[in-house]
Amino acid sequence: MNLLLIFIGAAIVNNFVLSYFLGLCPFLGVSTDLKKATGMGFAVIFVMLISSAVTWLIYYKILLPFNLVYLQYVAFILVIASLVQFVEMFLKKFVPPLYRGLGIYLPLITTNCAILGMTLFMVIRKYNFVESVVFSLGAGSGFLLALLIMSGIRERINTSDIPRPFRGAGITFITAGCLALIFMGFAGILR
Amino acid sequence: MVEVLEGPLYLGIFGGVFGVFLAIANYFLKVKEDPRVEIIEKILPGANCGACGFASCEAYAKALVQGEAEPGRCAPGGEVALKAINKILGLDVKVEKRVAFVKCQGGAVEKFRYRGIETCEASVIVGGGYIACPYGCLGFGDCVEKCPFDAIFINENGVAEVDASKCTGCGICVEVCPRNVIELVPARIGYYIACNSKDKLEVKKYCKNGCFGCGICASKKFNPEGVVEIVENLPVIHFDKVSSPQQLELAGSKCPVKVWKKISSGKAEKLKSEKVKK
Repeated sequence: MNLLLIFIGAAIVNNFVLSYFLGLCPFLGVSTDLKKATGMGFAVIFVMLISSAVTWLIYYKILLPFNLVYLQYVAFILVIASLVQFVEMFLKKFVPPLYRGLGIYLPLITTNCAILGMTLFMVIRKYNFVESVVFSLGAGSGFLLALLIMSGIRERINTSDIPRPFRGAGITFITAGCLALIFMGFAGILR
Repeated sequence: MVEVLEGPLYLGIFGGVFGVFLAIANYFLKVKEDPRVEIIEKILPGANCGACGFASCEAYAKALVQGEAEPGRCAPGGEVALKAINKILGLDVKVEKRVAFVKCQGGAVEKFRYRGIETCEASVIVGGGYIACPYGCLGFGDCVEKCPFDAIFINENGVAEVDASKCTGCGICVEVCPRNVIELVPARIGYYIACNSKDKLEVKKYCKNGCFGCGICASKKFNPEGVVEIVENLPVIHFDKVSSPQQLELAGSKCPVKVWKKISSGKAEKLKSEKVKK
């Protein structure tokens, strides 16, 4: 039950993009069409899952015992960056279809603050290993959800008659704001 | 003092460990790629237009090297790319250059005043288009926008026109056009019919420039080699029989509605520079 709550909490109630405003860059950049958004969303889920597991191990098995907690930000970034590199190589060798599917989005995620944010939340909230993994899955699914909603709306925006001053970035930002407002409605359902 | 150095030291260790790990991983996980793929990819224009039937230029390059696709599918790359690819792969494939042609020169009567979204795709939904001609160009320029090579523009008659010197024959505009008024034709024939109406005399009710299939261009006198034939009230050209543009110039010389148009080139550039001056 606790795990389910963590999952739903991360995916919907405290959606990373629309409630915490993390990872806005890919949220606006890759939400132009559904296909790209799906690719990016799954790449984020994938990287989050792996990096949560590895950073949990690094934090509790290396940083804490050696009294290096003050290095956690830099260390996490380092870990995530090299991990993504490694995963990219691994996929290219053993799972080429997946590598081609994720394509350019995989390296792009390295600098996505949603990933770092997720690992830091995991530490602050003192999740155990299983909880961390579930939390990362939830956070990733929430990211995918937000991207899918946004790209669906943007595909419709393309074929609708928008007042000239709002065209392009303007209407996109307004839409994102409205979406965030809607997600605020979930606030308080879960802690 | 020592505490200050502790952070960089540990971070250095972290970085070093990951670095070595990645270097080892890179050594063991390296994927060997055919060097020809990269070379061919550089030759291809990189527009990722999809005219070859592959999702990207990279995918086409790969298929070429593996022998799954034949050279010459890349319309934008044209003859230059074809020759280079032929050389690399040791093949000898030939194709002729094709360009898009808009089979309409405007002049149709308006059916009603359209004030909706200004795209061809949207406007055609309302009562089958705002012009009375069910075949003609709507002139909102969906093709202009989609053309990756800037080869289409809206001309003085309010219809799309292709600049043959810039057109690569990728065929994106042919797919975008909701009226199917654009066709790919061999560039060498020089002339083509700028009308798409399959109506006979009814065409005169809605368009002053419409071809009504009189058949003068297909007559023995102007068409001794049988290059032109009237099908569904429109002249159809047998491309394989055309040996020079003069044949078609002769065929179109006595056209009562002047529907035969030269395949134009260099016009898009001129129009652009005029716009800049203004």
